[in-house]
Amino acid sequence: MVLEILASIQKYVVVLLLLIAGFMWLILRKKKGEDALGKLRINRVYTIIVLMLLPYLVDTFSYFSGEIADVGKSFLTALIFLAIFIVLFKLHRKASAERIKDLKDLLKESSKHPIRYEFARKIVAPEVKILLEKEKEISKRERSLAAKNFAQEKVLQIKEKNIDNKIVRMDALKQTIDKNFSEFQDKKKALIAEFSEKRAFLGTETEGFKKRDKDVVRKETEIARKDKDLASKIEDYKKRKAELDEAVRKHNEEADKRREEILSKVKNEEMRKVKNREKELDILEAEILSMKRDVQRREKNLNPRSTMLESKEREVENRLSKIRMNESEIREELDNLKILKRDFAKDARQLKEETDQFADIKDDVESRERRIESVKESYNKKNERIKQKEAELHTVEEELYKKRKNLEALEADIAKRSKDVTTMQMRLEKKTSEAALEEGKKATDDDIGDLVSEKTFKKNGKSVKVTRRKLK
Amino acid sequence: MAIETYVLWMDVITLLFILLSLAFFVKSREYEKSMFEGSMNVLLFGFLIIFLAKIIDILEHVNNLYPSILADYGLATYVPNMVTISAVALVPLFAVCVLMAVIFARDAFEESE
Repeated sequence: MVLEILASIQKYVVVLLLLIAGFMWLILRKKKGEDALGKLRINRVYTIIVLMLLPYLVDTFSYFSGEIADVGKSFLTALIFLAIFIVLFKLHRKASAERIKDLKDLLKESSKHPIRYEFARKIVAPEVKILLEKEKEISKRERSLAAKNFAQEKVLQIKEKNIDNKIVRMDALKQTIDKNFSEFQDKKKALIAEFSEKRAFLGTETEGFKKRDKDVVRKETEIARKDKDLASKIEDYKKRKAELDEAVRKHNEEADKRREEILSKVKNEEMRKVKNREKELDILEAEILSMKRDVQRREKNLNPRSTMLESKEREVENRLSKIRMNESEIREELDNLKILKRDFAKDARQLKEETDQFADIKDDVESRERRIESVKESYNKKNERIKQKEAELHTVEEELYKKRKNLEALEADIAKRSKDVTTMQMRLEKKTSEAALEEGKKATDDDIGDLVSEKTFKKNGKSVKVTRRKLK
Repeated sequence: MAIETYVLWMDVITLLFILLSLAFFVKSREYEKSMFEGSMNVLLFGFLIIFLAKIIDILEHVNNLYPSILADYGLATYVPNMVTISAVALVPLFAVCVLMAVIFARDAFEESE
C-alpha cells in the first residue's frame, strides 16, 4: 500500500524533475546559442532526452483511459529513443569519418598533419634535446678532464724536471767532491813525499833545524789534524751524498708513487665517470634503437597495408583534391557570400539608420514647418496689428499735423498780436513820454491809467522796463 | 488485449532503440571533450536505468499477455515487485540522471568560457 502511494507520488516527482531539467536545458540553450553548444557534439541528444517529460506527462495527467495513455506513453518513448538513435548514429558516422580522415592524413608521408608536428614537437624533440644536451655535457667533461690531466701531467713533468736538475746538480757536486778529494789525496801524497824528502834532507842538518822540525812536526800534526778533518769532512760529504742520494731516490720514488697514485686515481675516477656515461649512453642508445626498431616494425607492419592503401589513397587523394578544390571554391563562395551578407547587413543597417535619421529629420522639419507656420500666422497677425497701428498712427499724425498747423497759426497769430501789442505799447510809451513831456512833470500816472503790472527784462543786453496799465 | 500487445511491441522496439542508443552513445563518448565526460557518464547511467525499466515494463506486459511463459520459469511472482521497484526507484533515478546531466553540462559550458 505504502509502495503504491509512493509510486503515485514518484510519478509526479519524475515529471517535476524532468520539467526542471527541460527548463534548465532550454535556458542554457537560449543563453549560449547554437554556436556555443557546438562544443558538445551530442547537444541534440540532451534536447531530445528532456522530451522524455512528455510520455510521463501523458501517463500522469492523461484524461484518456489507462490503455490509451499506455499506448501514448510507449509510442512517445519509442519515438524519442528513435530520434536519439538517429542523432547518435549520424553523429558517430560523421565523427568516425573525420577521425579516419585524420588518421589517413597521419599515414601520409607527404602530408604535414598537425598531429605529426605535435608528436615531433612534444615527444621527439624533447628527447633529442635531452640527448644532445647529455652529449654536449659528456664531451665538455671529457674536454675538461683532458685539460686537467694535461695540466697535472705538465706539473708532474715540471717536478720531474726539477728533480732531474737536482740529481744532475748533485751528480756535479759529487763529481767536484770526488775531484777535490782526489786532488787532496794527490797533494797529500806530494806533501808527504816532500816532507819525507825534506825530513830526510833535514835529518842530517843542524839542530837549528830541530825547531823547524818541531814546527814541521807541529805542521805535520796540524796537517794530520787537517787530514783528519778532511777525512771527516769527506766522510760527512760521503754521508751527505749518500743521504742526498737516498733522499733523491726516496723523493723520486715518492714522486713516482704519488704521480702514479694520482694518475691512477684520476684515471679510475674518469674511467668510472666515462663508464657511467657510456652506460647511460648505451641505455639511451638501446632505448633509441628499441624505439627505432619499434618504429621500423610498425613501418614494416604498415608497409603491406600502405602499399595496398597507396593506390586507394591516390584515388582518394585525387578525389579529395577535387573535393578540396570544390570545398575551397565553395568556401570562397561562402566567404564572398558572407562578405556580401555582411555588406548587405551593413548597408541594411546603414539604410535603416539613414531612414531613421530621415524620419527624425522629416519629423523635425515638419515640426519646424508647423512652428514656422504658427510663427508666420503670429507674424501676419502682428503685421496686421502693426498696419492697423500704423494707420491709427497716420491718423494721429495727421491730427497732430493739423493741430500743429493750428498751433503754428495760433502762434503766428499770437506773435502778430504780441507784435501789435508791442507796437501799441511802443506807441503808447511814446505817446506817454510825449504827453509827459508835453504836460510836464505834473502829470501823474493816474492820468494814463491804473498800473496793472510792471516787468523788467533784458533785451539785446539792455534792461527794458515794461509797465502795463489799464487805460482810462 | 490488442492494445496491450501493441504496447508490448512498441516497448520491444523502444528497448531495441535504447540498446542501439546506448551503444552509439558509448562510441560517441570518444569524440567528446573531456570536460563533458561527467555529464555524459551520468546520462549514460540514465540510459542504462531506463533500459532496465523498459525490460521490466516488457516483462509486465508479457506477464499480462502470456502469463504461462514467465510462470514456467518461476518469474511471475517477482514481476509485480519489479514493477513497483521500477516505478519507485528506477524511473525517478532516470529523471535525476537527466537533471544531473543537464547541470553538469551547464557547469562544463561555464567552465569552458
